[in-house]
Amino acid sequence: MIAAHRLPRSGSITAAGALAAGFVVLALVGPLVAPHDPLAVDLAHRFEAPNLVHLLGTDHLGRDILSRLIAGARTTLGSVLVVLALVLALGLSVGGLSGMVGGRLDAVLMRLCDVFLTVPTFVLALFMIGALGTGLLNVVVAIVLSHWAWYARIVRGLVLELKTRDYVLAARIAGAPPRAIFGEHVLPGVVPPLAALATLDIGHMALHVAGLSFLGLGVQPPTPEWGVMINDARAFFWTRPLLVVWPGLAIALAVLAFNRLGDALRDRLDPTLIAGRGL
Amino acid sequence: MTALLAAQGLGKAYAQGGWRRVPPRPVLAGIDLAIAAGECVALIGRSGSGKSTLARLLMGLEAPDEGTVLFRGAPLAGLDRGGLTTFRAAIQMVLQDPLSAVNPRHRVGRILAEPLRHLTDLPPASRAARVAKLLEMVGLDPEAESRLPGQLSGGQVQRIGLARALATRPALVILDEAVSNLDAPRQVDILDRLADLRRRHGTAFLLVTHDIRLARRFADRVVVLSEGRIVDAAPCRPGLALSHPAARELLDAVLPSGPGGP
Amino acid sequence: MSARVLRAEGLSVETWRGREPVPLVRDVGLELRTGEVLALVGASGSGKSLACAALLDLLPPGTRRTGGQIVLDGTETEPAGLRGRAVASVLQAPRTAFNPLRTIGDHAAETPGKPGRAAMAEAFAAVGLGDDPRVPELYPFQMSGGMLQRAMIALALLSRAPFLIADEPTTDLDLVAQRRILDLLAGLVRARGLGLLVVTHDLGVVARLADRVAVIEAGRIVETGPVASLFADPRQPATRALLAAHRALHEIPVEVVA
Repeated sequence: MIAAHRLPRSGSITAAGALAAGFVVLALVGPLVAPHDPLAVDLAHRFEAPNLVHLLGTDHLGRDILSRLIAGARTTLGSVLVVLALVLALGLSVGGLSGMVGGRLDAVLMRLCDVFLTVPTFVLALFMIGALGTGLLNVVVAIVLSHWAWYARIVRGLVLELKTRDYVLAARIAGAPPRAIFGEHVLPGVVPPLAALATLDIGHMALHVAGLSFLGLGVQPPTPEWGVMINDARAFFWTRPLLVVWPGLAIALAVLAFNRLGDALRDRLDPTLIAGRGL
Repeated sequence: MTALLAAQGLGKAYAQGGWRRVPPRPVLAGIDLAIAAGECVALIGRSGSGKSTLARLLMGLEAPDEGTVLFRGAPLAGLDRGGLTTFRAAIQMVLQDPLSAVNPRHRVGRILAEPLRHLTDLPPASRAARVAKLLEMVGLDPEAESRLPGQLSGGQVQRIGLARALATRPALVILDEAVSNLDAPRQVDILDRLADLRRRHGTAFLLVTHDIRLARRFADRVVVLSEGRIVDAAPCRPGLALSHPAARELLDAVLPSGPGGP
Repeated sequence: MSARVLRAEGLSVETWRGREPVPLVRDVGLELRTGEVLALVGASGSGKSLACAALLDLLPPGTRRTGGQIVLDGTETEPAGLRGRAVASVLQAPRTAFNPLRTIGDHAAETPGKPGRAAMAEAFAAVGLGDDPRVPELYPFQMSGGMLQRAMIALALLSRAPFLIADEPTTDLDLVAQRRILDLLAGLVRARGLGLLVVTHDLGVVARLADRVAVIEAGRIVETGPVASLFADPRQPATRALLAAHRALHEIPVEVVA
């Protein structure tokens, strides 16, 4: 066998991985490491420039910006992870069922997907919020509803492709029932490219959460959230631009880190495992 | 005596692509074929003659449009769950391309145990013993069990495919061009192993091939398929009495065994 | 016209496991003359296709050429400069060698030298695809394996290269199609004075086609000679093993009772 040639492991992938891991850790242990209470209003110390007590300064209500950013990581990334879990669960079950069973069920499920795919995320979110009211939960539901169909379609495509493999035929000959064929032969081929895709989407979904919150439709003040923080800071943009810069930077870094990581994962997993060469 | 596996009036047509409505293209028509226990039959024909489709219909991997496949006299379509398991355990197939026929993520031990898990009620300990026995039967080291297919040579993977087909001690093994494209030393190796199995266990074989030389060396009788129909059939010994033009074409295509030779 | 000579000297190819280099082709030398057929024979995994790929500068990723030179008519030449000019090639799986979205005529029009309609018609006729005027308009999926291999040979002819390298040209074909392609190649060598290097594991192909044979085992050429003497008097164990297996399968004469 010819040794697989490895893509050079560039420094940016390591940096992106470290950064993404850092964000996830912050989301998990945030309140433990935050230097101050992110909700503590201190009107005596409004608009402080970065200093030793408040490393990134304070906002218009004197709240510690660093602590709010750390707490915001949990709100933003946490909701993104919930969204991803739901989207993956829905996508895998609907796409898997569609691809494995085929026939009329496939046709019905895919038309259903098409319906959801025609509605843009923001429009669906506005509709949901108009009907159910503002709040993080509704934002999560709106993003899930507008994204799961993508995943279902991709899973179905992968399943259909993997189903034509000779080793799936061999598994049928070996008496494997459809459930075993899906679990042992098809699913392991679906997961790696899907994981790469999901990682790529983390940044994208974080933008949705922050964007909807910025518009005042999602997370409500005073809950610390990056989009909300930008919205709060908007009024002081000309006098205190740093207040917009910090949460903006956090969003940009998170999006970049997860995108780069997703790209790297896709580069490593896609060509080898999708084409079945590898190993 | 009832045949082990028989085809009665099998027909199959595939839908054609394109924008206009085209009638399905017939691939097989009116196939009657019976394989007795312990018998070795070669199914020969050119590419596109319908050989592989017939093999898949006989395996019950696809349903025929016409006719029936009978397993020990019982129609495949009417088998219940238990009957289907018995059928799968009794009739096995080795696919053409050995490397693509094994899951690249599964270790050899797991690949060989797959038919045992689904088609037999062997407990795990006996399964492991059977896997070791299978490796020995096809001449592979016991250590091969923990290898991934990518770590083995093409010839070794071919033997894994054969060992998997033999796992359930089948009564009939269908070899779908599984020998045709190997180099001569490997063809000899595989054919010798198969002949040995026949002697010891009375396994029946259906050798699907375009190479009449393999058919003649290995089979008791030859059935010639051309354009979806059986056009000729003859026992291999003492001489191969084939007269249909499609059969003659296959015979004439045999390459000389030496320079300047026939 | 004097024969042209393409010579490969000391071709070596290696891959690597971790940092450890693993030699795959070692110091292979081949000499090919116009008007004759040289067969490179070996079992699977002997390195025959890699040696041929090294000659064409078409090594797969994960391998690299570590030595050797190509000499054309006494002048050292870069392999990349030979391809399509002095050497044309026919590969084993014709279906993967064509772009599925383009017709055969599109492929022909792209060969070096931009052949005109007349040249294309002539090349298709030479490979037995001339009777059907629709051939240039066909897409690869509309053609059988045998037709595709013919089309690939036609493209090779269009380049007007004096040498043709065919790597397992009939592996994917049934015996009837194989016989016809071999007849076609033999005819082209005779009619056009091509120098043909055919890479194969099948001694039947060698017997049908070759003038001289080089036997390769574990990346090394172990025996070279005229085809008749190799069949009559094999000297190396590798050659004997190949011949023994070949004879075991095919020596029995085909008795036919009509």
